Amino acid sequence: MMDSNTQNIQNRTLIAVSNNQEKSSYEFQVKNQYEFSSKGRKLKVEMVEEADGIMLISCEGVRYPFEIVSIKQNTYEVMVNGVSYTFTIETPFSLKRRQILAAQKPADAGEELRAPMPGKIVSVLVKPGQEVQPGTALVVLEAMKMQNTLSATEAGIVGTVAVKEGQTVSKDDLLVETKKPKA
Amino acid sequence: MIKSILIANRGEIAIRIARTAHRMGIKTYGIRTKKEPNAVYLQKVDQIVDFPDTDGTIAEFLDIKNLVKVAVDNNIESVHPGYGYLSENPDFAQACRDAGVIFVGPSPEIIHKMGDKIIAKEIAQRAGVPMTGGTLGGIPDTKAAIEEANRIGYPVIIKAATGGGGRGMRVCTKEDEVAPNFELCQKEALTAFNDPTVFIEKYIVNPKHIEFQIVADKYGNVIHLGERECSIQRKHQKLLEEAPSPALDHELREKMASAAVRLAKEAKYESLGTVEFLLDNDKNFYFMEMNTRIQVEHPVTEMITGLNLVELQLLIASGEKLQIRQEDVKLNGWAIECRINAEDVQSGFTPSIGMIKNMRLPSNNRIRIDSGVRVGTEITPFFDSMIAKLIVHGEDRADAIKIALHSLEHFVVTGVKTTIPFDKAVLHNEVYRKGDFNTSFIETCMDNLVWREEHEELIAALLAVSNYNHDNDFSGDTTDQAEPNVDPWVLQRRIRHL
Repeated sequence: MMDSNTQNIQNRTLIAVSNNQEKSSYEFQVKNQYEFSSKGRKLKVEMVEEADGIMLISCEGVRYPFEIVSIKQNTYEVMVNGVSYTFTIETPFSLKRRQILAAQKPADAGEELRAPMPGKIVSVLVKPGQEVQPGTALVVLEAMKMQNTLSATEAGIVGTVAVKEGQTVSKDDLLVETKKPKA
Repeated sequence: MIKSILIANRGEIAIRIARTAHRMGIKTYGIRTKKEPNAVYLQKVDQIVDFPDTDGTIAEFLDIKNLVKVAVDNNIESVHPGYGYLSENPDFAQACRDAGVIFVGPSPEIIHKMGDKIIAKEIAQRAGVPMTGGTLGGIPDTKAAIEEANRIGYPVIIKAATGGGGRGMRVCTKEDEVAPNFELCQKEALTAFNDPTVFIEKYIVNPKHIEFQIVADKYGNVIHLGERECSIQRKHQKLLEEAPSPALDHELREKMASAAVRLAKEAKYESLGTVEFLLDNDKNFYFMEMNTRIQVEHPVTEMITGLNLVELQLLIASGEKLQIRQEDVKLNGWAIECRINAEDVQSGFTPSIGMIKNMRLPSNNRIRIDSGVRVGTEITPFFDSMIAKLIVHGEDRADAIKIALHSLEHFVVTGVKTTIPFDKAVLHNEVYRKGDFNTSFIETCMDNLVWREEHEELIAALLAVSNYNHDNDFSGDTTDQAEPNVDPWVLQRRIRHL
């Protein structure tokens, strides 16, 4: 049975799944725009914009400055106290679908490393066909007088290397593509 | 006294220099560049000069010829280089001298001597300043490198003679690492600093980085203004500094200070300078290098001494005699500087570029904020990522930590990510609070690089959910938003067939 059929008709359930390593998740019952509950605890939320444009969220007696950094479909990146959090918001149904999809993820799906900021490629550290582990340095990008080493987050095999040393790149340009090793 | 000054720098240090020069009745000139024609620092100078059109191959604040030309064409009496850029470039100091412009800093000869680590070490040796054992001259070849490394004992570090900022340095822990590292280091030194000379010295594992502020006039008077503790570093970039250092007692402070003063006297130093030392676990100190510019972290010294370092620098450049004697210098209380950089700490300190949407600064009478940005300022990849420095002054170290934390909690920047949560994490860290930390602190003592308040993640989740709920208003309708009109039984079947 779906949760939505058993829950109170006024409340809907939303689950915030964190994109952090632990994939921690928080389930909320939503009463209206301001009233939520989590694990049976009522949470009243207020958001105000102060005169200088700073947004504050107040909940449970604390007031923290926040910012909505980006919204991509149902994925929200928010900053609270200057710390960034990314959550994907799911309904009980979409969460189930996501879990099934994740289980069926093709084995050769890999990752695409894109430029996080405009800059210059100082060095390319991998070649197509090379095996990489999480943390293996792929390219070094120079921006703001700093050299930033961009690394793989998953184990895989390098597919395309789209950049050369000395090349200038824009934000979100494809740098290196890796594929999952065949099981 | 100097009557006019060209500030050959940008950002917070340009504002810092302009403020003091203005107060001293010196007319200030700022340089407008095409990269940031509306920068905040331009509002703080008396007169703005447009940088001449160039082909853009040399960055404006590195362009010796054109900077000197701006000074000469506008009849400006002196040039202040700030920090970074040309501040430690002997050619710039020489070009200023040749054009009859006063360079606010030491003579080109002294900058050259101190910039060459091998010459600097010779001076330190003559002054009887302790050094990490090693060669006094450059190493000619691989064979000599291995012999020297074996003589010193491992670990050793191979360094470029004219290097800096953490580049051109390689550590060897055993003999067979010496040859490849020696050759790599030579190559790096040649490409980065245009000088392949390298030398070898003992590598101190996890030292503390402690530096002494020196003030010297043109008449041989040299005083020190105590030390700064700069061990909180990441990849040789300082992130949080304080004065005094919790690692020194009175006796050690006197010993190190007198070594620093001896070195400055031996070098016939003039102007402001900083003598950097490494301090090992057994409280032995070793000379590392001398910086000939004003440092980013100079405000912590100003806080505890009550002296204005830029003012002293300008007075010395004007040929004035030092009016303060060593016994007049009193160290009072404790100061901490937190650098606030536009960097994403959670993604490995990558630069965070974008526009500053909003900014709220803390205010109280025990803090100082040096900043070169405002709401609307674009953080670009052209310049370094520092957007502000928060400097606090407390009665003692615990008090200073308390004020710093309180101020950081009220320091809000939106639009770009900043190192504020990192600074908080350092100040909350038990090892830091005990005062017993070294340059490995960030790697070895910080489990969390950002500080999170209680329930912060829950509130962030709630914030995301609340915004999602607002963006996808169903007014009590409980069917799935993505599939609003589908029968739940159909959905259930679809799931099975995915």
